[in-house]
Amino acid sequence: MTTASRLFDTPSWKRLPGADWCWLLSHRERAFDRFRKGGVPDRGWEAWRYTDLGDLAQRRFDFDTSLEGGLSESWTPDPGWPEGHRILFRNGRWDTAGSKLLPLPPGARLISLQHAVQGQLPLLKRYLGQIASLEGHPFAALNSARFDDGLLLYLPEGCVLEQPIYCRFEMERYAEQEPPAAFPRLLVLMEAGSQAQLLEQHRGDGSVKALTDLLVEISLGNDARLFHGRLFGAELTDQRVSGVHVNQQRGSRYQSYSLMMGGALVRNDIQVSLNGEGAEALLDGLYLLDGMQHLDNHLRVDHLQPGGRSDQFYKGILDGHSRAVFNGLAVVHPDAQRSDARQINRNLLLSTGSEIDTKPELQIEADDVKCSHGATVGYLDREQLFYLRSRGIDPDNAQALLTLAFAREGLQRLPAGELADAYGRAITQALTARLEGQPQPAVGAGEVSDE
Amino acid sequence: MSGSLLSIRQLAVQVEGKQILDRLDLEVRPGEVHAIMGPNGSGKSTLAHVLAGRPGYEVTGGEVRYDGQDLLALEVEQRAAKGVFLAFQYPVEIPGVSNIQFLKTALNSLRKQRGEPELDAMELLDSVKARMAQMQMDEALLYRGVNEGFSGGEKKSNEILQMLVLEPRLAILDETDSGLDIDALKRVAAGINWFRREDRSLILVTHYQRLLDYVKPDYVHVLQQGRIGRSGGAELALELEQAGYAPTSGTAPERTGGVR
Repeated sequence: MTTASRLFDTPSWKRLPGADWCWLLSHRERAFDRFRKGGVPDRGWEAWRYTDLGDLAQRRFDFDTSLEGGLSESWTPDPGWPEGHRILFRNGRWDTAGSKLLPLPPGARLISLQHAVQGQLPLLKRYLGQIASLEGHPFAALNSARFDDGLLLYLPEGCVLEQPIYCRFEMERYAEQEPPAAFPRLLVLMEAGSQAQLLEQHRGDGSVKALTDLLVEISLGNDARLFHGRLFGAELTDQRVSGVHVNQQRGSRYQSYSLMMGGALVRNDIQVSLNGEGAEALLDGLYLLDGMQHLDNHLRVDHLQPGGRSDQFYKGILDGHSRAVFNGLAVVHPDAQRSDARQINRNLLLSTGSEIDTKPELQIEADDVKCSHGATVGYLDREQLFYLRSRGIDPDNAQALLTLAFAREGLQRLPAGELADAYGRAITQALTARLEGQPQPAVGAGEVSDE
Repeated sequence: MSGSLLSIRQLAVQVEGKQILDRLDLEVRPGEVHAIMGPNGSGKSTLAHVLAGRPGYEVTGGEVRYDGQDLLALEVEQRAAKGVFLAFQYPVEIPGVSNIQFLKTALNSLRKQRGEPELDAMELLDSVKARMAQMQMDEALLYRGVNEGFSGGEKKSNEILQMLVLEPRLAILDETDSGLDIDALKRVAAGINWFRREDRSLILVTHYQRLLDYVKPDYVHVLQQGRIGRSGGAELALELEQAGYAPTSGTAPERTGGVR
């Protein structure tokens, strides 16, 4: 039995896990205070100028959404995805019956954040809320105040997790209740030389007008390596606001691949601090949008130490009246000599009603750096179309082939193998479904490029 | 004219208001190889593109009949289905579409338009690989993006490979020899010679004579000021190599090509 409330209504602290842990409670209260003072961002905020959150502040949500029953066994990965640790989050909560963990190497921990908080693990005090910056990130503040579950992954020095960790986020709604709001929190702590793959899969049954505010904090020790896949399924219709905050030490490598196909409104914030020499961040993304979908990508990489490399490569295909935002920023601080920062955002518009607002930005405060950025917005390439047609391929098929080729281009940057193949199949499936029986995409003039 | 596969009469073409082809005549019968030569800007490539149906060319006069039909009324892919093939001077790179996927889609599209059943994937692969072996092409190119990162020679070989796989009736090769070293030129020429058959015709658009050392044409035409200025046999190419494309004092013949 629950009562719905608004985002600004003070949470019932006692019902949140760790209520008897003073440190955590005061952390929550400070975060909530910050959120309430800042408010739900409106379009007056530079970082939100293209995204209208509308009546979010007024809407009522069901916050106490623990679900009982319903599942008796864990979900199975779609065919072709490699076997791994499977964790199901239903309305933001780790669902034990729906999850299945594989044996872990010695010293590694993979537990629900709720348990970690209840056990008052000292690690939490050291890291939780220390990686994410709440300043200017209202939803990070909101999550910090309200999170009630999530996961803690800890890998000791040199620990290599062979199998990926899947985190599947599903939102469900009880009949006659307000839409659920969930605040899952992932804390990923990897010591020097450790390696892992973390794969988020955002799912929904299409009928729930839910809100998810996900916050991911990642700390990578020297030479640690993390592949972070994020998949927003095509069938999603709810709102998902997510922030990923990464702190990297010397020689570490963070690679993310975000495949965003669904959601009425998706916010993809990725903030990386290269805090050690020679650290590397590769941020790839592909969005396939249609209808009235809205996606807002905000990437920021801070080069704080010498010899770091960052590479943002985002591509998108927009149809219908969909709208996407790409705001990519790389800041090269004065000490970060020999930095290499690259940003590319390419967009293919399949309809005249779709819109992209793209802004790759560089701020350079060091003199010995290699930086480049560029954005393109265009339609299908006439020369390629003619080439295909001259070989007998009809215009519809030629367009489908080129659209698919555009989407798949970034895949070669992923580590070769099952994962890249699985993403490739997901892309092909989603695009094929969309291109079938579609009106012909616009072709030709209007290429804009400053690449 | 009966017996012609391709019959071009008084063809006039403008590009952005500029007259490029001006009352051009050409007859090509099955089994014939015609070389079209001429200085830069004489309209050689325009002729090749107009025949293949590239957008951006305005036909202001004349007609082109192919196998008894009005070629210019057909869509690009319909021309391909009827057996017209253009080997591009600058083959287009298509990252993300593998070469084999491209060949398979193209061949099955052609077969579909002709009402023929699709080819079995293994059968197709075997026949493509056999032709690649003939052309001394690396099989790895099949799994790369179409022309993506190919060397100049690989791109031109890839055009010839497509020609051998798709088996057109009229192949138009637009400066296929340009930019090739001698070994690549020989491989491309060998491919063209394998293609030659009494029921297939070729138009070789070329600036230089050297391809014709390896592919002997039945006719050589010199394009000048948008029409065919001179025609002759294979020996004309050699003569041009010596004397260059200096304007001839003689008058242009009324009709060229197919005149023995």
